[in-house]
Amino acid sequence: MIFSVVWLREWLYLEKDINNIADQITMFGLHVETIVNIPYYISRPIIGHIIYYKRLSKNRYVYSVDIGYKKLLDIIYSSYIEQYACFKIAVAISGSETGSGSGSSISGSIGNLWLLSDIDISYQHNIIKLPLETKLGSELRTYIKIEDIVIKINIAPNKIHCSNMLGIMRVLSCLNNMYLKYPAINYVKTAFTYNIPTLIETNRLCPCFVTRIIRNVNNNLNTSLWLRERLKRCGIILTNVLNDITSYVLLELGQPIDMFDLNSIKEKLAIRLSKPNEVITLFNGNKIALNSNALVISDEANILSLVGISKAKYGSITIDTNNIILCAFYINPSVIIGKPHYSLCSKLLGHYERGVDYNLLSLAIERISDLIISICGGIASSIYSFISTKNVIKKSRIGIHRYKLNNLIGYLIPDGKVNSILTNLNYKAIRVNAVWIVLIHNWRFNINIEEDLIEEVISFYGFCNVNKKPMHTYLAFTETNKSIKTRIPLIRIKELLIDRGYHEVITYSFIEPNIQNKIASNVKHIYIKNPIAKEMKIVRSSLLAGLIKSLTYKLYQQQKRIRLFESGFCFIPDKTIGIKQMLMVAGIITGSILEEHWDSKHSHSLVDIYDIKGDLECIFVITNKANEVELKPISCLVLHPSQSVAIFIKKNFVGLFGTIHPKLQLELKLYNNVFMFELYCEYILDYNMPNASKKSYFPISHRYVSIIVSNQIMASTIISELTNKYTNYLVSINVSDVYYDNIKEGFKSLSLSFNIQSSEKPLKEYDINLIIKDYITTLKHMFSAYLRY
Amino acid sequence: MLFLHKLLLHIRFYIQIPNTIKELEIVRINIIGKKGTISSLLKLLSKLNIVKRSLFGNIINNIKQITQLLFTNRKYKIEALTLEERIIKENVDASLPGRILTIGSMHPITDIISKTERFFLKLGFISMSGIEIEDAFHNFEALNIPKYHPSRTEHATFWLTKKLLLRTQASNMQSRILIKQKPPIKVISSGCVYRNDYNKTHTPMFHQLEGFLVDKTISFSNLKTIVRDFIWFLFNNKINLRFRPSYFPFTKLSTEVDILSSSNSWLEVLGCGMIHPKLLNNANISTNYSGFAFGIGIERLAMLYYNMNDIRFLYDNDLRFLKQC
Repeated sequence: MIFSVVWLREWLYLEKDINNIADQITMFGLHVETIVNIPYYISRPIIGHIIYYKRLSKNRYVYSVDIGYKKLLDIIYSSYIEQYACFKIAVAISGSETGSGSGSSISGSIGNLWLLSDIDISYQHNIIKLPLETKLGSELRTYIKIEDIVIKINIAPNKIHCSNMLGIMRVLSCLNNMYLKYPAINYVKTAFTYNIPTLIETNRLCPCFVTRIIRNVNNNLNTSLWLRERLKRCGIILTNVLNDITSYVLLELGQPIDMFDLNSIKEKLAIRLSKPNEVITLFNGNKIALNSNALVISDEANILSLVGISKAKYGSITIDTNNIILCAFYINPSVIIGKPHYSLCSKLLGHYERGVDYNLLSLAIERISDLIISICGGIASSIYSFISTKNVIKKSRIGIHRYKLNNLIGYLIPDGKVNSILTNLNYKAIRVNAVWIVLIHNWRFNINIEEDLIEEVISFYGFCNVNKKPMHTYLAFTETNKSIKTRIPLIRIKELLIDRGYHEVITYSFIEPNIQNKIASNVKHIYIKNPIAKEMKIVRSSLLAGLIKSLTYKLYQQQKRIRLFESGFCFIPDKTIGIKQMLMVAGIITGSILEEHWDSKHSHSLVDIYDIKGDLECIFVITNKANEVELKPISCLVLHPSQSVAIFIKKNFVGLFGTIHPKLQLELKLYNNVFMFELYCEYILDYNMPNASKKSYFPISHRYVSIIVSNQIMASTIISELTNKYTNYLVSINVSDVYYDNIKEGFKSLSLSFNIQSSEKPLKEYDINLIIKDYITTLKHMFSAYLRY
Repeated sequence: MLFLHKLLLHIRFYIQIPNTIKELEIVRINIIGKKGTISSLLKLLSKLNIVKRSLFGNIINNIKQITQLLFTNRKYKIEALTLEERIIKENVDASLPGRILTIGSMHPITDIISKTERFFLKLGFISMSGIEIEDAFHNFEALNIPKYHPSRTEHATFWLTKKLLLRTQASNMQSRILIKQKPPIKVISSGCVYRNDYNKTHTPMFHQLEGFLVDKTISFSNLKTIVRDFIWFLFNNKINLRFRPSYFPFTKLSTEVDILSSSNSWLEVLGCGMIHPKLLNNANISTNYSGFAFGIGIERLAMLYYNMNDIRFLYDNDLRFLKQC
């Protein structure tokens, strides 16, 4: 809601400066978003001096005004201006934004007077008097700086009663302990009696209904400037005079008022539930078939309005309308909450849904009649009101229990303080034993339970004034606490990757269907019904899509060495549970192994699959699962068919790694090879607690053996066979060299390094030779390998 | 006699010539080695008579002792000189960059989450991971958001099917855990949440850390303390903060917490409040218990923490930007 400070000061004279007021209401829960100064932007009024006047009739004078031009300006004004030679006045040349405050009129003249009310100093119909030394013909704004400040506040759903001026004034008067003076309302004279038969079908639907007729209204006028200015400043779009007046009353009192063309209404006005198959015709000619039980206003034949949602074409106000009927009502909110909206949007619905203040209905009708008659003319009928307060949902009494207040706040607020807050908030409260029984105002639609009322009391007390108190709770161990021994946090793996040179990225979970097809065509797409853009149509099933996209973007920026990783949820459709949601971690690398360096031999060599494998091995080392990892070839759309590996731990598929598919590489125009991995966090975070064992003190002997074996035999098979072989000694075996040159076709040379240690004694040359011989026999026997000399 | 005196002078002279240990060694062998000058002189002694033998023998032995002393002195001198030379020679340019494997970077969002978690885990909270595709019940109804609330429309929420959606707040875990666990409950849960919005301060995906505590005698003053301590932990002890009344459907005494920025304006950091009695009631938790909940917008904190003014930087994944953090 937006409101102007000038309007505010008219109701409540607050001496505080505007920032104080803003702070005050912000801390009460009406968050002030912005405070904007509105400079006086209507630049048109200029300064003139009355030279002489002629009296036309009793209330009609023609003034000739000098505005610095050759020709004098003629202005017709309704009253006599005394001592006009002693001051200058502000006038407007016709054709400019003209003042039309009551009394001045445009008829026939070429200019008119500006009144104080026109420039919104206050709602007074006095002319603007300026000293004689002001220059003729100059702009008014050079002499008077009338500025307004506009405050925009955010109304939370529990403060919805503050979405009008009256509500804000009530709050401000409470906060400042001031008496709120309601604006004076001119009760218009009733010229005839209300004579339209009105039918309220059931009391339960619409317990309160107030209506009145105004005849001979001229609605072809411009809205008064003061009213337009006010509405504009409060952010309301202007339409026509009658609508503007309705908006004004809504803004001022919070009461929506419906207005119909009296001439097009045929007898009986009714507010009722719609019958099956009824149709409403809207302004634009669209017809909507209503469900039964929609709340409508209708006459004998047609529906005039779908309450709170839209008005019908029939009965609406047109340019020719001169007799109107005004209705204000209170609807039982339960009747309209949850009813379909027919894809139409109306702010008014909100007002009816939370309920309006039924005590204000007559006042609102009086207010709007006054405004209509003063601006558009006309004569008003008597008011017809149907009030059945019995059926109004009354906010009865709510009790604040002493113990509940203490528990919620954490300490004791003295009784006297609570009493004074309740009084300040204008609540009628009785203290019975340890309970305050509070009568809730009928405009407080949002106070339903005790906690709501306590919230209001504490808001007034000040959230900031509540003491701070450290809490006392028990440290209870739950299932999840215990698992710390068997699980490492994801952050540990992230830190490992970061230390190994990876940069973490975060990409959106939604991706393009095309990319998804390239990565995993067999996974069914999960579409978002209302995507924000067509590139964000489906949710990802793999992190690789986002990573490849980030990588290409970085390459486009000419970055040479790239290592990225991401962790996040991926989604795969699953027949049994609907959608499987898995936390994954994935990485991608390309470019040189090291950053450019003055001495490094590796500066210019590029990464290969063993770089990414090394990073993965580190992950398995920190979870102590390096021994359980099994690698198998896998076919995957993004990965090179002969350079892709699936990782299994205890027969569970935990992820994959490999080189990018050459086809995809060509498509993305990547010059260097790209390597990537993707792991399921569910499995890799499991941690095998190592058992501490005694280590041998004796020196380690190193021996090297070079063998030639078939290309088909994997190094890992040889190592694992040899490691599993039982000996009396502790032997660890590594591959120290591999090469293929100068070897028979189909064979490779492997250099194995044996590190041998005994747990009982220092080894002698003789023992070592025996062990090595044993291993060589095994190698020959199992892999038909022979020694290289 | 005269001859022997000359010998000592010669030795003194020859010792000064070599500059390296190796050359000195050759000179030493020539003079006092097995076949050196002094040994051959000693052999000559046997041909002399006893008186002369004892006289000359004494002198030669003296010479030998002096020579040995001279050699050791000379050796130390040469050693000292060569070490000095070597030290000067082995000078390096320390300004050249060292050989390292470059270290990567953590995303600012992860950084803030892990810092936040560190605070709450120390207080005994348990970190639980949530799910991101949620059903309407746990995302809305269970959190007291009625069926016709505007946040449930397609303008605000990403819907997958009629029932399933991408969660709009991390509080969905609150509705799940309250039913599953018995109090006392102390849980934090962080992760992505999604809303249909994109501008300078909003991205369609963002991160939240949701935490809540249910126990006996939990009050608003406890909540204030924990929130203040957290903000002081993350920023510093001198930062000004205020508790501003606000509204969330799933809490009462709903509060938004603002901190005073360097430009003297209040910036919103997090929202919190006492858990709505309806939620506790739905989870069959007795009225003896009460609790508070808080939701921290991680992006918001990261922007404040790193002094950023556009949230979209966080999702550009620009390496140069990431390296800054």
